[in-house]
Amino acid sequence: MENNLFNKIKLLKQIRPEAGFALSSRRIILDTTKKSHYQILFKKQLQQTFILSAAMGMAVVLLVIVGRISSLPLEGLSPELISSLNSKDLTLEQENLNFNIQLAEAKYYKESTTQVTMALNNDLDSVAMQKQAENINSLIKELAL
Amino acid sequence: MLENEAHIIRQAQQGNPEYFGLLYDHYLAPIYRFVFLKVDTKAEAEDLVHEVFLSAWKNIEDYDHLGFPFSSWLYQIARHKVIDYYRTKKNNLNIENVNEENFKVANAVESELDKNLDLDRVKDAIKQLGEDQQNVLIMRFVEDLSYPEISAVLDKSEGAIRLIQHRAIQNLKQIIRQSVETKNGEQFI
Repeated sequence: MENNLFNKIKLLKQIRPEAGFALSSRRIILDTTKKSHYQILFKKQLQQTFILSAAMGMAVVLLVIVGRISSLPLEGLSPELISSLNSKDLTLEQENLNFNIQLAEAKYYKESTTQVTMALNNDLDSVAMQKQAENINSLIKELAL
Repeated sequence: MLENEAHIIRQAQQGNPEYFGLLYDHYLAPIYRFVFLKVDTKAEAEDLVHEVFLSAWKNIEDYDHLGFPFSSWLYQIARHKVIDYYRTKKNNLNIENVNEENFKVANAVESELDKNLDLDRVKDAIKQLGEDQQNVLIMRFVEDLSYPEISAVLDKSEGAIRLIQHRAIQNLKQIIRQSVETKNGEQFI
């Protein structure tokens, strides 16, 4: 079927426009006034100039923006903002932050250990007292008998 | 590709109508076929083809020869004209105005009546394919364009064109098979 199909498609090559249409369309198209060669050249030149000047304009704007950022006066800014622009200060700040976190953790563990020890001691005391009370009770019962 | 095409195009770009006439004569038939296989009537195909060449003549200075024949540029214009045609047609289609006779390829190929019935079926089947599949099928098998040429017209890679071609053939076979089965079914009723 595939070969037959390809043959059928190839037959479509026989399709041709009518001679009358071809002639009249050709005449109409070629009679259409076309801009002169100089007008076309001028248009192209104008387009190229516009593109070039737009590109140069963009480059100048970018340069101005970059220049303005690098020459920003730091005096008028707050100390926090200035220090935030300094990478050394930022590194030091980060190290201090880590150190402070570690200290806070050590303090927590120390306090929590004492509290846990005290709680355990309290529990042990109450168990010992309960045993003593039981012993006394049993002695009183024996004496009573 | 037309002999000495680059020179002819340069002359046409300088506003010389005789040279554009040479391009018109050489490329009219393939562009006409390309458009005719995608629209409903011969009159619509003629209108669109006229617009394609008029547009090409008005804007020929924008054409840059980048190693591909002038036809690639013309096919691109034709493709966009057909897309515009379907965009506006969708809003204006009135079923009463459609003349069934205009659908027949017989108007274009009058000499071979027997083949025309089958050709009509093939044309109708092609029209049922998606836009890319139609383009690839017509350019590859009707116009014998190479893969690089088709890829330049459709702005797709050669691999993608081969894939589209494969799917187009499969779909076309399926559509024709269904159309034959439907026709046979109708004969028995």
